[in-house]
Amino acid sequence: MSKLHAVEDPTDWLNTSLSCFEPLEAALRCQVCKEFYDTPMITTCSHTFCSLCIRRCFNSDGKCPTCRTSDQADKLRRNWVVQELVDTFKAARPAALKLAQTKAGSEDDEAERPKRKRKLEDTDIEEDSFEDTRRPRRTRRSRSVAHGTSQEEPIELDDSGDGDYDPEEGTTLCPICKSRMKVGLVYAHLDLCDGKPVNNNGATRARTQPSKPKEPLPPAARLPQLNYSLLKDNALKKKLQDLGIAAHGSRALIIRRHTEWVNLWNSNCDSSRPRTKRELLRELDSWERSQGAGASTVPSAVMKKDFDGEGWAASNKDQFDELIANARRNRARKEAKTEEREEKPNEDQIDSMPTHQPEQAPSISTPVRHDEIPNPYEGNEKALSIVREKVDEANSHGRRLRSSGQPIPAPPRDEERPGSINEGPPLDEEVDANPPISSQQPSSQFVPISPNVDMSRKAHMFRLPEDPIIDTDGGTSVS
Amino acid sequence: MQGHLPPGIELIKVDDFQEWLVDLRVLDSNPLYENEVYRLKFTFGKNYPIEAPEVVFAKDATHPIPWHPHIYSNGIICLDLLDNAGWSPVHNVESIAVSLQSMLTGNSKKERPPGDENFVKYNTQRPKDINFLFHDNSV
Repeated sequence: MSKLHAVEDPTDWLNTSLSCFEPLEAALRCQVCKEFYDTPMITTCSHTFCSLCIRRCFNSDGKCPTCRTSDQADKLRRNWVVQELVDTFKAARPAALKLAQTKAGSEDDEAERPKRKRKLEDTDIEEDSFEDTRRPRRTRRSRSVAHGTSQEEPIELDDSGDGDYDPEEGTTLCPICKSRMKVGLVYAHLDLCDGKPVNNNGATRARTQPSKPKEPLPPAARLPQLNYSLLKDNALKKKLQDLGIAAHGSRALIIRRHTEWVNLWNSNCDSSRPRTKRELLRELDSWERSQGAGASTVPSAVMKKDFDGEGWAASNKDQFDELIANARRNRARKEAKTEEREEKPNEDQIDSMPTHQPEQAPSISTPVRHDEIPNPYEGNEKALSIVREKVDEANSHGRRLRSSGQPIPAPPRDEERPGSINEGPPLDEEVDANPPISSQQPSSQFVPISPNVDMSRKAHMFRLPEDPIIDTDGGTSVS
Repeated sequence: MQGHLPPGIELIKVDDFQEWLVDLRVLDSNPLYENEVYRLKFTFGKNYPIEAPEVVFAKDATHPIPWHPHIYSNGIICLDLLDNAGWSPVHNVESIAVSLQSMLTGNSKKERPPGDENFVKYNTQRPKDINFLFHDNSV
C-alpha cells in the first residue's frame, strides 16, 4: 500500500483544502494509463488519450476505449491545448498540493482562502515563480507551442557571432534597412533603399539560416502499419533490420515487436519533445524485457479465447502421438545407453551440441571415435558416393588428413538412423571423408588427395550443398 | 483510488501489479446477498489495461460464491465486460467492482448458470480462454 501511495494520484487532493482539484487532475489524465497525458491525441470521436496508449489500443481492437467507436491511428490529431494544460498543471501541482495540505490542517475559514487564491491571478504568479526555479522547460515549451519552433534563438545567436567576423570581410550594414552588404555596394544600394530589408548577402543569410534547422525539425515520417499476412518471414525480418531493430525470435514476436516499434515511433513523431532514436530503442528494449519475452506463449492462436482445443487435439493427434512415441523411445534409448557405456550419453548431446566434439578429437583414429562421429550424409546417396570416391583416394595416401580439434557440424540426425555402434565400414569411410571439413587446414595437406582438382571445391563438397558454389568462386579468384 | 472507494468495496491485497484481492458487499437489502462478503481476485496480465484482467470470485471459509445466473460455483464470472471483446482499457478495478456489485444488486434469482455442474467439474481453462456466449442483456 505504502508503495502505491508514493505514486502521484488525483486522490492526493482528497483530504486537502483543495479536494475540488481531484476531478480536475483526473480530467488531465489518460483513461488508459491513468498517467498525465503524454502527447495527447484526439480521436475522430473526440476522445483524448496519450499517443502511445491510443495507438496500442487501436492495434488491439481498433476501437476507441471510451465509446467503442471504430477508429484508426492515422486519423488521430494532436491535442496541443491538452498538452499545455497538463504541462502547466504538472508544474503547478507540487506547490499547490503543499499549500493545500498545510491549509487543510488549519481552521475551516482559512481553508477557503487558498481556494480563492487559486482561482485568481495569484495562481499565475505562483506558477511562474515556481517554474522559474524548477521547471524552466515549461516556459520554453509553451512558447514553442505558440510559435511552432523553439530552435530559433540559439541559431540567431550563432548568426550574430558570424556577424562579428563579417565586417572584417569587407561588408557593412545599410544604415536604413540594416541589410548587410559589401562596402562598395552600399552607396548604390542607398539610392534604392526604401527601408525594407533586402534579400541579399547577409540579410538573406540571417533569415535563411534559422529556417535551415527547421527543415530537419519536423520529426521523421511516421511509419506505416504493415500487413503482416502479406509478408514472408524473410521480408518481415528485412523490414525490421532496415528499421534498425532486432529481427530475432518467432514470427509472432517479430510482428509484435514491429507493432510496438511503429507505435513508439509514431507517437514520438506526434510528440512536441521528440526523443532520439536511441531513446526509443531503449524503450523498445524495456518493452522486450517486460512483454516481448512472453510473446511465444501469449499471442499464439492456442491462447485465443475462441480456440477450439479439442479440434486442435484431434487434428494433430498423429503428430502428438508420434512425438510422445519419440520421446519414450528416446528416453528408453538413453537409459539403455547409460547402462551400456559411460561415454554413451554424449552421443545424445552431440545432436544438439556440436561443440562437444572437440573434447573427443584426440581419440580420432580409434574405433570408439568412429561411433561418436555423426553421420552427416546418411541417406544422401550422391554425397555418399563422393565420399567413397574420396576415401579410396585418401586411403592410398594414408590418413594424415585428419584434423583435430575441429568441431564437426552436427548432422540432422533422426530416429531412423541405424544403430551406429557396430556400423563398421561406412563409418570408417566417414572418418576419412570428414577431414576436408576443416577448410582452415593448410591446403598443401590436401594436395595428395587429388592434385588435379581444385581444392577448395573438393573440400567444401562435404559441408553443405550450398557451400561449393560460394567457395568455388573464392577458390578461383585466389588461383 | 485507495482513498475513496465506493461503499461496499474494499481493497484487501494490493501488494503488486499481478494480483489484487478486493472484497465486495451488496449494500441494499437483497436477501440473496445480505450479510455476506465476497472476495474478488483480480489477475493482471502484462498487457493490462489493453487486455482485460482475469476476475473471479475466490471462495474460502468466510467468503462464499454469490448466487447468480452468470456466476459459476467455482467463481468464474460470465460478464462481457471481463471478456476481451467487451473489455475497454478505460475500465479499472473500481469500475469492475462497481459493475459486479450492481450485477448482484439487480439479481433476484438464486440460480447457477445452466450446466454449472459439468462446467465446474470439467473446466480446466482459464476464464479468459472460455468462449462465453453473451445472450442475456437484462443483467
